[in-house]
Amino acid sequence: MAGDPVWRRLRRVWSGAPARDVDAELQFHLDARASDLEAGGMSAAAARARAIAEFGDMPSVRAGLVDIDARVARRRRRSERWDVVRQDLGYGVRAMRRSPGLFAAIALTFALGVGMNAAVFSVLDRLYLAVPPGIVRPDQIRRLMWQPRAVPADGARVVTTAPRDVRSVLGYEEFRGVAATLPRGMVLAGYDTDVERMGQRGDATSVTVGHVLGDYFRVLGATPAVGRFFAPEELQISVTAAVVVLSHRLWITRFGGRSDVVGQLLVVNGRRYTVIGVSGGDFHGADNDAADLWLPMNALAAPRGGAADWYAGSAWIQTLVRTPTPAASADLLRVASAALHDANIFPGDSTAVAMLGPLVEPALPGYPDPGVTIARRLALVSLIILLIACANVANLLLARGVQRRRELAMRLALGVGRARLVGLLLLEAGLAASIGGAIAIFVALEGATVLRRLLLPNVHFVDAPVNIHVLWFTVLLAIAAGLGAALAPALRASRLDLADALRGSARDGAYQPSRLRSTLVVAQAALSVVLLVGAGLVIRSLVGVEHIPTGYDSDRLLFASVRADPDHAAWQPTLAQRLPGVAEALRRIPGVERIGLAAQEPMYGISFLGLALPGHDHLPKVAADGPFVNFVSPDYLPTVGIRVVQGEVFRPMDRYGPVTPVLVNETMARAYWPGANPIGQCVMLGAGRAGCSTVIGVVTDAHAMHTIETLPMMQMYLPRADTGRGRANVIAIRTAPERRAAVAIAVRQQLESAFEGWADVRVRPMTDYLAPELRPWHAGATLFTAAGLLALIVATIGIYSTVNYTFSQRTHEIGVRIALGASAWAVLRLVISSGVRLVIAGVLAGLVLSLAAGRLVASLLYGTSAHDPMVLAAVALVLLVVAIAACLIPAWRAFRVDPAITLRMD
Amino acid sequence: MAMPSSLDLLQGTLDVLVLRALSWRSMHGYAIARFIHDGSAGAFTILDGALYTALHRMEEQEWVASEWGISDRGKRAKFYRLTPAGRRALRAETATWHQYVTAVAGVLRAAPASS
Repeated sequence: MAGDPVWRRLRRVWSGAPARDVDAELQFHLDARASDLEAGGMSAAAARARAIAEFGDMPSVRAGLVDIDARVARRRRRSERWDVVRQDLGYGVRAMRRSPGLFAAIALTFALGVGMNAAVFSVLDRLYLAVPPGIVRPDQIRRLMWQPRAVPADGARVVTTAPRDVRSVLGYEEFRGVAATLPRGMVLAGYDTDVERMGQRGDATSVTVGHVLGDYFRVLGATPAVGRFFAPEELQISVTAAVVVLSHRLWITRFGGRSDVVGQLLVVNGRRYTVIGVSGGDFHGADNDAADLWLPMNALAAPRGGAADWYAGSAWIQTLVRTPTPAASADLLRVASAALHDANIFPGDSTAVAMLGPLVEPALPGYPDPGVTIARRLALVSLIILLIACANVANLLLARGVQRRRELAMRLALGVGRARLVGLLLLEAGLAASIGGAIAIFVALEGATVLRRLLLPNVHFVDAPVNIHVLWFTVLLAIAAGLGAALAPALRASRLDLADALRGSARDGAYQPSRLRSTLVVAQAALSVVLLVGAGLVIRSLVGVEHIPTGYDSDRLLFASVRADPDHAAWQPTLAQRLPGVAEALRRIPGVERIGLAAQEPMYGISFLGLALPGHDHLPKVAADGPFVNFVSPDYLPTVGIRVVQGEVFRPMDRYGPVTPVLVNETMARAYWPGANPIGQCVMLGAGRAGCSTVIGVVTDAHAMHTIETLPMMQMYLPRADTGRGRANVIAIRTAPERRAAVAIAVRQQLESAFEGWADVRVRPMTDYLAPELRPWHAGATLFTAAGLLALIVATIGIYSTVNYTFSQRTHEIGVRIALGASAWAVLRLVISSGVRLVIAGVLAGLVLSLAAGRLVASLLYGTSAHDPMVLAAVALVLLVVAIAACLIPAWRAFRVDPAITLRMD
Repeated sequence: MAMPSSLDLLQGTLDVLVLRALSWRSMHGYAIARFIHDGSAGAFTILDGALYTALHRMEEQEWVASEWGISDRGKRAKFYRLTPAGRRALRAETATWHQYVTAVAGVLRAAPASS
C-alpha cells in the first residue's frame, strides 16, 4: 500500500524472499486446516492428506504465487527508491535556498570548469571525430597520402627518409596515374580548397571554393538538390568549362532558394560561371572548412595561362578514394605506389610509398597546424582547471559539513542511515552541479566560438559549436565532477562522532587540522603552478618568436602589390611597364627612405625555376623546397635589408647582354659550392635552355616561407625585367619606422589614382606577412595565460577559505594565547604560516610536476626550455605572494581577537 | 495461474467473495476460506490454491494489502486487509453481480412473448 512507511518498515523487517513468505503462508494454511480436521475426529495423517487435496495443485499454485510476489516486491523497491530521491531533492532545494551564496559559488565553479572542457571538446570533436555533414558511408572513404622514401643503391632495403614526412597532396600527373590504374569498384576524387572572390567590385565577397576533379560528389555521396553535378567532360583539363555548383547555403543566401537558379551567371575571381546545380542538404564538402561553391579544377588553370603548364607544376590535389571493402585497400596501395613512382617526379634515388588515412584529418599531414596542437594541449589544461575547481568545491563542501555538524548528527541520531545521508549530501552537490552544467553549455557555446576564431581562423565553420556530442559530454562531465567533488566531503560528514557533535559548540576540544582540506589546498596550489608555468613558457616563446630575425627589416617595410583586375587582365604588361615610373614618384612621399621593385611578395610569394649546375646530375638539397627565385630591381635588396656578403649587386639599368647575372644567398652558396668561391660560377636556368648565368654576388639569408624556419632556405635573385616572366608588380618601400602607417595611406592613394579603375592595389606592412604565423603563438599565449589566471584565482579562494576556516576553529586558542601574553607578531605568524606552509608544499609539488610534464609542452615552445628556471622561479614567487595575501584577512581578524570575549564564550 | 474449481464458479465471483470477507476485518487466508465455505453453507467447494492465487493477484492490483501477524492459534500468519482501492472494487463488483443476478433471474422468470 502506497504511502504507509510503518507498514513497509514492518514488512521489510519480517519478510524475507518471496519464496520463503509463500511457503510460510501455505504451511500455516495446511497446519490450520489439518488441526481443524483433527479436532473433528480425523487421524493426523488423514487430516493432512485431506488438507493437501483441498488445496489443489500445490506446486503449480506455489510457483504462481512466488511469481506474483516477486513482481510486487520489485515494484515496491522501485517506488521506495524514488520516494527517497524525491524527499532528498526537497531537502536539497531547501538547503540551496538557505545558503544561496555557497550554492551559487559551487555552481559557478562547475560552470567554468565544465564549460571550458566542453568548449575544448567541441573543437576537438570537430577536428578529430565528427564527419562533415551530408557524407554517405564515411567509413568507406580514405584519404590517399604518400611518404617519400630513399632507395639505397643496392635496392635491397627501403629506408624512410623522415618518418613523419607524410604528404597528402598529389600532383596532377600522379593523380592521373592513380586514376588510370584504379582497382575495380573504387571511386576517386581530388579537390583543392581556396578562398576566392565572388561577385564584382561593389558587392564582392570572399567565398570558400572547392576545385574538384574526378568523381568528387560520388565519392562523398552527395546528391544535387537542383540541377546536376559536373559531367566528366567538364572536368577534363583541356577544356575550361565555366560551370559552377552551389552549396545549398549559398543558394539560399545568394539566390533566395529560387528554382530557376540553373543557368544563372555567377562571377568568381572575375570570370563568369554558369550555375548547373545545387548540392543537397547540409553537405559542404569533405572538410570542416565549408565550401560555398565548387568549380572544376581546370578553372584554376585558366587565369594562369596554359592549363597543361599549370597542371604539371602547381596542382595540389587532396585525394579521396571510396573503397567498398577494406580488403581492396591493399590493391589500392600497390597501384597508387606504382603510379606515384611512374609519375617520375622523384630523383633517381628515391621513390614514394602510398598510404591511406581517415577522411577526418585535423590538419593535413605534413602541414602540422599549431592551432590543432594548442587545442590538444588545451584539453589537458582544461582538465587541470576542472580538477582545481573540483578541489575547491570539495573544500567548500567540507567547510559546510563542519558548519552542519549538529544538523547532520541530529539526523543520524534520529535514525537516518549513513548511506541515505551520504546520498542526500551527494544530491545537494549534484543539484549545484546540474545548475553549473546548464550554465556550462552556454560557456561552451561562447568558448568554442572564441576558440575556433583564435585557433583555426582560416577554417570556415558553418555548424553550431554545440551539438549532441557536446551536450552529452557536458552532462556526463558535470555529473562526474559533482560526484568527484562531493564524495569525500559527504563520506566525511557522515562519519560524525555523534555525542561530540551534538554536545559541542564549534570549538569544542582541541583544534584538529583537517588533513583532507590541507591536501586539497596543496593539490590546488600544485596544479596552479603547472598551469602558470605552462603559461609562462608559452609567453616567453611568443616573445622569442616575435624577435626572430627573418632577414628583413620588418618593422620599417611596406609592400605594395599592383595587379590588373580580372576584367583588364590583358593590360598586365602595360602595368608592368608603367610601374617603375609610378614607383619612382612614391619617393617624394615624406617618410619614404628607399624603394625597390620585385616580382614576388616576401614570404609566401615564392617561385620555382628549373635549375641545373654543369657537371651535376642531382642538385644538393638543404630543405625540402627551393631554391626560391625572385626578380628584383637593384634597389630592392638594400631596401628590404638584405646585405651583400661577397661580390656585388646588380648595377642599375644593367642589361648584361646575353648572360644573366645571379645573386645567391649564403645557404645556397654553401650547398652548391662547398669550399669553393661561388663568384663566377655557372648556373643553368630554365633546364639549361638559356645557357650559363653567372653568380656575381652572395647575399644574406632571408626567410622564404615561415617565421620559424628550422632549415635555412636557398634563395636566388635575378634582375627584374619589364616584360616576360620576371616583370615586377611588387613595390618594396622602406620607411622611417614611426611614419610607416602614414606612408601606407599615402602610397595607396597615389597608386590607386595612377591606375584608376583597372588595377587592384594592396598595401601591407611586412608585419602583416608575418602575422599569420604569429597568430597561433598569440592564441596560445592568450589561452594559457587566461587558464593560468583562472587557476590562480580559484586556488587563491581555496587558500583563503582554508586559512579562514582554520582561524575560526582556533579563535578560542588564539584568545588564550593573547591572554597569556603572546605578541601580535606571534599570532600573525601563526595564522599566516598555517596557509603559507600548505602553499609551499603545493609549489614544490607543482614544480616537480612541471618538470615532469615539460615534454608535453615542448612542441608549443620556441627557443625556450620547458624547464626554464626563470619561469619556474617567477611562478613560485607569484604563488607565494598570492598565498600571503590570501592569509592577510584572517590574520587581521586574528589580530583583533579580544581574549575577554572569546574566553567568555564557554 | 489456473483457477481450478470443482463446482464452476463464475469468473470474478471468487474475487467478490474474498473482498466481501475482508470488508469486516483483516483475515488470514485460512480464515477467508472458512468464511466463504461457511457463508455459502458449503455450497461452493473452492480449491484453496485458487483462493490464494486470487489473494496474491489482488495484492498486486493493490486491492488488498498484507502484513504478518499472530493468529488466534498463536502462530505467525499473513493477514490480508482491504485497501481503499479494494473497497471501491468491492462496491463496483457487488453492483455488477446484483445486476447480473437480476438480469438472469428476470430472464428465468419471463415467458416467451407470443409472436
